[in-house]
Amino acid sequence: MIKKFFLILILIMISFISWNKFNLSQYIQPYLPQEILKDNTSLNMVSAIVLDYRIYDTLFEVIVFTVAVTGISKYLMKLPEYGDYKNEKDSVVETMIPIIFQIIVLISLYIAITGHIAPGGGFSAGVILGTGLLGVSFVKPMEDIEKIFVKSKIEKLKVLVPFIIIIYAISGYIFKGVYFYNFGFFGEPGTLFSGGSAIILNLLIAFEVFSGTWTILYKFIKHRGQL
Amino acid sequence: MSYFITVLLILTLISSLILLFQKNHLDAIIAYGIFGAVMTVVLFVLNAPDVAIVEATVGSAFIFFIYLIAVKKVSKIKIYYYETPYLFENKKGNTEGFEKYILDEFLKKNGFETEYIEIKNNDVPEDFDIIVGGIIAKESEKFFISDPILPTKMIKIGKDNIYHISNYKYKGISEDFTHQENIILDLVRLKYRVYKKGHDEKNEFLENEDYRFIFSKKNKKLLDDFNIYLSELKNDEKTYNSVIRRNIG
Repeated sequence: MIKKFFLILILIMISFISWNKFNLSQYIQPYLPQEILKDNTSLNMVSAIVLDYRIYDTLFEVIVFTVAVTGISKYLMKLPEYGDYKNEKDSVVETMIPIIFQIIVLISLYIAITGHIAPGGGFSAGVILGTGLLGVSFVKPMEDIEKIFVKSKIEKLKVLVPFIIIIYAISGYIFKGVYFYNFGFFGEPGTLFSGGSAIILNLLIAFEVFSGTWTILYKFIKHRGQL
Repeated sequence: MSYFITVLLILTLISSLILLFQKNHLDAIIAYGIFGAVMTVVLFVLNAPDVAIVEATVGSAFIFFIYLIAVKKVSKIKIYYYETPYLFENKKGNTEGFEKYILDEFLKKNGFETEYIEIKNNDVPEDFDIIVGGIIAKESEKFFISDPILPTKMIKIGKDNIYHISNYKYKGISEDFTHQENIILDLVRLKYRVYKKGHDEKNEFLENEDYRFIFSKKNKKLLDDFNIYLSELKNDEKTYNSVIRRNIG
């Protein structure tokens, strides 16, 4: 109780301090949005920053995510499996999820591909697809999902994504003299083929995050109740 | 517009405070889901649709599901019980008693679902989480024992004891103990025996013991939680004594 009280007290103090001190308008942006649009040709400025100007952040984010997921699957491997897994039958869920899942896949692909035009991007696309697959695990028996999981080798493939991004970085250095040189499509802003190599990177990150989230969920279902 | 944002921010504050004060796992997860949903709206209104999408998927779907899966199965606890007078007895289809009360309070506080199974013929179950019912147990490699729930005494009746004292370590006594002539009993069962027979018998005090619960080796966390709960209960002497008085007398 005392801990909670102090936590709330600290929160109130921080909010009071920030109320007085923060004035965001005093920070002036030296690089204008128009210049970003001209440089990168992607309409979604967040995508331009994440996948072009601050791509090192993204690279290390992906590496951290990969390491975290590998750690989770490695740690949960030691735990005993949850034995008698039974799906509780429910007609609404059983009918609806196969239909909804296809829509979810489409939405996720759309968000990944148009990440540089509209809000979205690789990360959210991957999480949407991974969470959508969770729904399938309610309907299908556990053995089928396990078969797909092992057969697709997704657990091993996802480790390659950071390497592919690093290869992309090095190839920029080899051909143009700069790491992460943006040799993609520079079309009219707002069209599909614009925003540099945003489409490729978004799809790569989406695959990475999707396989990571699916691995986490799959392992949690397999070893449920053991933590 | 600014009023709208203020209202939303106050909502996030309220939902996070609700989250902070939840005692049940499931309630906390649901509160987290509400917090994520409110946060999504805030981010969307504040012109950050990218972050709003991530918050919606991660905050209120992904994390929600992960915790739901993790908690759902932990929460089902299998409890085997020996029927024991005053501690854990069947009465008109319900189970009642002192131990039942303590167990229910503990499990309710921690948000577990329960499954009660009665043990007959002294079969020792394999897949238990908790075994209860007037158990006097010593440390063993097979299971954990909890801290003492209630002190008791071992008492001998008759000349020869057919049940040697070592027989009821871990085993509860589900056999007929009201009619046996020569027997070693604990206080609660003796009380029931006297109540049934209607008169006192000559008896001999043997040793002091405690009633305990038996916990599975798999679930150390549950044992630790229970011991913490028990020490809290014992510190609150008024409640503890009133529970004893109500159930045992």
